[in-house]
Amino acid sequence: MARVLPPASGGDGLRVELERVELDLLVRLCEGLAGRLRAGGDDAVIARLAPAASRGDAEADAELRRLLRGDLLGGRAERLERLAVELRSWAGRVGPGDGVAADLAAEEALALLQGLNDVRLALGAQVGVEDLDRGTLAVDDPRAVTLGLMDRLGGLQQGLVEHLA
Amino acid sequence: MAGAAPAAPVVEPDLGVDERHRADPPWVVIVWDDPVNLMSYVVLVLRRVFGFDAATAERLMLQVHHEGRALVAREPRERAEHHVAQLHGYGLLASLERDA
Repeated sequence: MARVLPPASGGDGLRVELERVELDLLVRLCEGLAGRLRAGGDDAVIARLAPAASRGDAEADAELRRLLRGDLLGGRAERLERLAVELRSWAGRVGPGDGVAADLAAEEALALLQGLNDVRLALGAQVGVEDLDRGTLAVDDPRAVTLGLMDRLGGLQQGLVEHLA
Repeated sequence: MAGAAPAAPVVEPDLGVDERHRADPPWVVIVWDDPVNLMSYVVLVLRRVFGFDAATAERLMLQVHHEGRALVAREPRERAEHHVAQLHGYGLLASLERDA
């Protein structure tokens, strides 16, 4: 189970411990989302990650989107690709059990935090979390599985925030 | 309104604004509630983007959570656009509006 701890060497930053299956999953989620953002087009995920910048003023929003959207999506894809490369490099950092452990500087932890958030937002958008009543989903509903994953990544994210604050 | 683009195709009623309002920057940044972003993450982002102290960021986050939105900055348009872009980069739902 993913854990966030104070850094082994003291000082700023933090230590993250992950099971290998968690690490592999995170790498795949980051790469998958980066690929999705690079492909462009319009769907719920893109709409959530490049949201309206000016509500109630369609003209201003269209103009802002033209200005911001390319940078926003391209920059985010690049960030996720960098994070995936970084996460792959953790495979050699042996942690407890058969897992991995990585000591991260504050800025590295922030990059992981942002990547986790991007992935969680994308998972939420995929299942239409805005309009979903979670209480009514059957346990084996694929959307419930996706939301469970979103929550689990949220637990790791919460640990990172607490150590960064 | 001070600082509005001269060619803006928006017809505005004459609100009889006084000099104090005239001097105010005419745009506001709004953060909107969403069901995915963690409350603690929103606080962290508001502190990093705007330099708020912990209590201010916490208060604004709670306002977003309970009321659905919060006004987090009132400033010139260019700065407001920059801040909205930064907030979107962090994954928050944010928009700018002409100050009413």
